[in-house]
Amino acid sequence: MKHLSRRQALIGTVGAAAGGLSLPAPVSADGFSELPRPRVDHYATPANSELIANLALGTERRYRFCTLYILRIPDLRKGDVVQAHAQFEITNDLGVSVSVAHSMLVHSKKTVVKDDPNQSKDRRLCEYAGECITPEMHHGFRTLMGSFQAAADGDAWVSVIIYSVGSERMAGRTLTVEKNYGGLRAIVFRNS
Amino acid sequence: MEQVLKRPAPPGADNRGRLRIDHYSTPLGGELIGDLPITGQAYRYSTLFALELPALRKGDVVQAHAQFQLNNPYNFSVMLAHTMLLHSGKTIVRDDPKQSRDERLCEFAGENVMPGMRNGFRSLMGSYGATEDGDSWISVVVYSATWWSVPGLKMAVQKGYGGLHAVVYRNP
Repeated sequence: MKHLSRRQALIGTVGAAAGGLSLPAPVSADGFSELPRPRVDHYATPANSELIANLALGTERRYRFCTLYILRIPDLRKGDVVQAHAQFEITNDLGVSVSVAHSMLVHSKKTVVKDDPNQSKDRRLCEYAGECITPEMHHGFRTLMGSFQAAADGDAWVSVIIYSVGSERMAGRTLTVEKNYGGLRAIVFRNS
Repeated sequence: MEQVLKRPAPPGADNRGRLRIDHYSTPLGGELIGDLPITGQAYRYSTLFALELPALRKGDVVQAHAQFQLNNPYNFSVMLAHTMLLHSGKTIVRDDPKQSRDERLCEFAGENVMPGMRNGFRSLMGSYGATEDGDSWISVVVYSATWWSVPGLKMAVQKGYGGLHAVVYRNP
């Protein structure tokens, strides 16, 4: 028996009959297309899904990019819209100000990095940016928001990347990534 | 068919089986408390906003966001932390020493409000997919602490400086 994908199940017999291709949707007597319907789905990382427990300080000369969260968005179709948001908290016990910066990226396959000196060239849902956590702040709480429109059919992976920068003499010291203080979630607007 | 009949249709809902999007908000000045006790490490949780989301169906998607501002009147740093929760019934707590086990739309987290900052402003963002039919309540819970415990210390909740809003995507 031929496997029926979730996408085919969503769009029903029209897509299945056409092999999931470009057969126009029928139009009902009242002028509204019967199939396919727009549909909204939700995806989230589970509790405690932080991929790292601490974040090593890089320097201005050498950043160390780390994936904090990764989330699979299955079965996108070109034109679908994804709105993602993330939250996390980092603790600075070093006694000096250090910057904590971040980005949200979309990948065509599962992509996880740890202490990577190279900035990803993958598409950004929100840009690389950040601010310092001072000793008095102690914790840095961040909320990120990003969105994109799928440019091709298939699965996509969304990730949150974090990195920290201190002085040369602080290189290698670490900040604490608070476990279960955040996550990555996505709302998918399936247009077709 | 029986399932369809059990669900009260939202006002203005059409019957064409199309995606429907609704919006819900707390009213202006919807903050439920005027101040927040500053504790030591034994936290006390208080509901700042609560919002009812009627007649959800399994598979509907909710996107919620909140904003608020609290004031630190002291000359020392105070932690201000928060979460957004999902409840099956109206749930409001005040100075509750127990952390809720209800589902989190965003996790318990926070950072300090330093004397030089004076005000702590927060934007929270949460979302979830409904796992069953029925009404839901979402809430924003806040708590505050410092390194030592002195009875009577409080942060001031700025009235009319925020709210809790939700967009509900009702799938066909």
